[in-house]
Amino acid sequence: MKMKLTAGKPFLMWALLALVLASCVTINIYFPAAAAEEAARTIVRDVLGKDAQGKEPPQEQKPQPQSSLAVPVDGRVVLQRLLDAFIPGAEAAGQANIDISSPAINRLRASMSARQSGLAPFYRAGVIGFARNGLVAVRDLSAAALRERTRVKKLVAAENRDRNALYREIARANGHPEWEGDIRATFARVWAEEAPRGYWYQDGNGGWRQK
Amino acid sequence: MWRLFLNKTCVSGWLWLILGASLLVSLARAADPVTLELHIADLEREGVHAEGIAVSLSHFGDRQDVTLHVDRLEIPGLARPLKGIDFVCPDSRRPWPGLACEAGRLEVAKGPWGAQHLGVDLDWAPASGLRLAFSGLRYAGDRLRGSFDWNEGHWRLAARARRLALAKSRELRALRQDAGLDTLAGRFSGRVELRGSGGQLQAVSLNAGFNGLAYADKAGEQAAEKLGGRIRISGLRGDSRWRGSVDLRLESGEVYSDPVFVDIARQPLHLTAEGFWKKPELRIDRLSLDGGRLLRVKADGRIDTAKQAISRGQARIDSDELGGLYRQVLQPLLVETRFDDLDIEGDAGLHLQWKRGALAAIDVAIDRLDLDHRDGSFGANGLQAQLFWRRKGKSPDSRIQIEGGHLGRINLGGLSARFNAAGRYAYLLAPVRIPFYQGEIRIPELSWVQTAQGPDVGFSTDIARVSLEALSTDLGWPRMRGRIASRMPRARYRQGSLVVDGDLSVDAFDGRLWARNLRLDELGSAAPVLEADMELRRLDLSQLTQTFSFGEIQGRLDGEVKGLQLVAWQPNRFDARFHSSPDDDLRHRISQRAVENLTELGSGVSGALSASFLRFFEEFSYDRIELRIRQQGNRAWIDGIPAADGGYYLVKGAGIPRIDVIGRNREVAWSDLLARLKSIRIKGVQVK
Repeated sequence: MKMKLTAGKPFLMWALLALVLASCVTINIYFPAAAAEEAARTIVRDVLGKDAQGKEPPQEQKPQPQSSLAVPVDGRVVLQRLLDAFIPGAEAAGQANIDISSPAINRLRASMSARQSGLAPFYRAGVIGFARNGLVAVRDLSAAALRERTRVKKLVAAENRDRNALYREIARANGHPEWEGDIRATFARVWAEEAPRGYWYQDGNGGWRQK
Repeated sequence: MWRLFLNKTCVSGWLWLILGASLLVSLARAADPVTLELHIADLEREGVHAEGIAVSLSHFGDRQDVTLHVDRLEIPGLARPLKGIDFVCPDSRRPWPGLACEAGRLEVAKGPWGAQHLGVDLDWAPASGLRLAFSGLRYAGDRLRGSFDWNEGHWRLAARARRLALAKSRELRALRQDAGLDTLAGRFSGRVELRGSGGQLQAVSLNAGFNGLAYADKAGEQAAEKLGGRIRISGLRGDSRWRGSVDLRLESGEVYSDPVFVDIARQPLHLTAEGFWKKPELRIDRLSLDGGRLLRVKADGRIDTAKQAISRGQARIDSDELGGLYRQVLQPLLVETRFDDLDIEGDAGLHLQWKRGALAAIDVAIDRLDLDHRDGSFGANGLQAQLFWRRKGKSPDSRIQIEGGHLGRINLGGLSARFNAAGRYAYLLAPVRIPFYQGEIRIPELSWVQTAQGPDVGFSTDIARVSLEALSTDLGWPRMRGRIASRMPRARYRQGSLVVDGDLSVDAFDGRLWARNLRLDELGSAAPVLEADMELRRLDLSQLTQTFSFGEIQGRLDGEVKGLQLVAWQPNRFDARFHSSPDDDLRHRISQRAVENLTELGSGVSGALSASFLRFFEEFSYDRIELRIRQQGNRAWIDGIPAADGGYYLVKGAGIPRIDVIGRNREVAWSDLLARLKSIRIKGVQVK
């Protein structure tokens, strides 16, 4: 942990800081939203393949806090601000990236990519779309030919199995199983953003919109 | 002219109408010719409400003209009242009270089916009742013909349609909504007849053809398109129940009933059924579904429609063409499974029995079945089976025989298995032996328990004296020598995980390998996870290295692999150590090629030896070999026997000329190490 203290600070501040450092210090690694979004976009574009080509680059996202240092004592907010002010290195220690190179993730990506050609006609026909929970949902089964309907449902079930496994695996591969929900939410947003023209996606209220 | 005005009538108003008319006719006979008129303000009986009624009788000797006008008529069941009704019955020859006209006309200005102009043939007398034939009733895009007979409370209504458009029928639209259908369309031609007594329906019959029939529910899970065929329905009310029969022929179109799709054009269907209906029970005495060689069903039973369950019954299902049944019905159900692209030939029969609201027995008879996955990944031929299952009590023993099969390029011999399946349990009655490359695979025990979470399967296997030479030939590998044997004392599969209880041992290359703590998780997913610890003892390196043409090494090899984890069959982490066996009785010799390969593996540098004078020596003596590789994700650490200068020996030489292979780099990207392995070409095979 790198610490920088400016000479001439009051003694009280030194004492307070010593007290803080002597107490139990917890580094909370917050969900690395920007890294997760970049990872999600890489995977989504890879899976969508040709369909996703020619899309506008994504809008720059407002950066979110990556980490912070908190202490489990009263007045934690004050102390956290003090630490933020005096120990910028502590913040760096809490940063995390998203690794998407594990064998399981690679296999899931390959599986989803292979399935995309089967799903694409149904995305375009409005039969299925990107749901707001990061999965694929049947939007209008009637838009599929009768002989294709069971196939649609089976493909969607298989795709969702892979997507659930992917979100879980990304969280696990990065040592934070508790991130699964955040990763799913990130993917849900990126699927909708990267959806090619004509694809359907669910908005925040669950309503269907077409790109 | 005689006129009678009645301002208000009540329940007996209809009687007043008849009596009034009779009275007027009687009076009229006194004077000839004469016209009589009866005006009634309104009438009401049993929900039928009429207003502005005017009856006119023009009497001409032995004949009479009758006209009836009603301003407004409300009939229960009709969505809208009939307005402006005019009925003309000219030239009636039947003496009053009675009417008979062959060229009557009925006109309705407004009504639920719009304006109507009907031709009417009417014959009515109090003794013989009413017989009315009509034509030209405009309904749902068609002009209907029909008749209505009534006598002493008994009635019969018949109608014939030529091209009735179901989508335009207001009444069917309401029924469609009640049935949860979003769409109902098509053309209908045929005859429907209803018979009743008083207000009670006694019999119904329908004999019709249809084409272009389409229906769909909101979810799109029950739907049909372009259906064509014929239907005959008859129903007769008994003392307390209906007896009925159905004869349905589907000759064209498509039907989807989630999850089954049937292309009727490719396989017409003929369904017949007879039975009884008394709410809530539907009793089917005989049901037959004929789908040609593809599918034949015969069934009977009782269905509790309230519980939507088969109370008791049986069904016999036969197919003489399993391939067609697979392509037309089963294949879509198997998408995204290993069975979604098969070639199948064979025939099979299935018998199901239900008792007390639940499936009680299953019998399956497969006379012959050959199947092959089109990608060649597996197949079986000459499969015969008699399978039995009983929910309660003892079940007959089941038997399955397979003449042969294959898993990819690995051929499997025939097998014969006997087992018993009853309730939630199934178990082998005798060990199964499968001839396998001059040896055999033996399954001494296998048990299956169906739980709420899925199957819980326990089994053990032995593989005895399998010829590596024959196996490697079929696999297209370099020819191996010797035999292998393995034993897996007990394994258990449940909830997607396979756990081996005890050590799995494999005898190969004159040594033995053990896999311990072996488990497979997330089976069936895209990324199964395998975890195990492994131990190798006294493997003959000469057999091993000659096989893979790594460059010959003589001596014996021990090894330990701890914490091995494969995810999606790719190494994710392990800690491995391979080294010369401590009590080795073989010569320790290593070829120049093996030295080169080991050097490249350890350093990434190739051709180091061939650049020195040592290239003139074919082989060298060595003291020990040791290779440690620890992998974690994309990082790997290499080590060997500690060397004095901080490096590590991969090969510690002995004798003259002495050669040592010393590694310096300890950390390497796993992907680089894999690339080095892949670059080592061996006879006919590249490491992948």
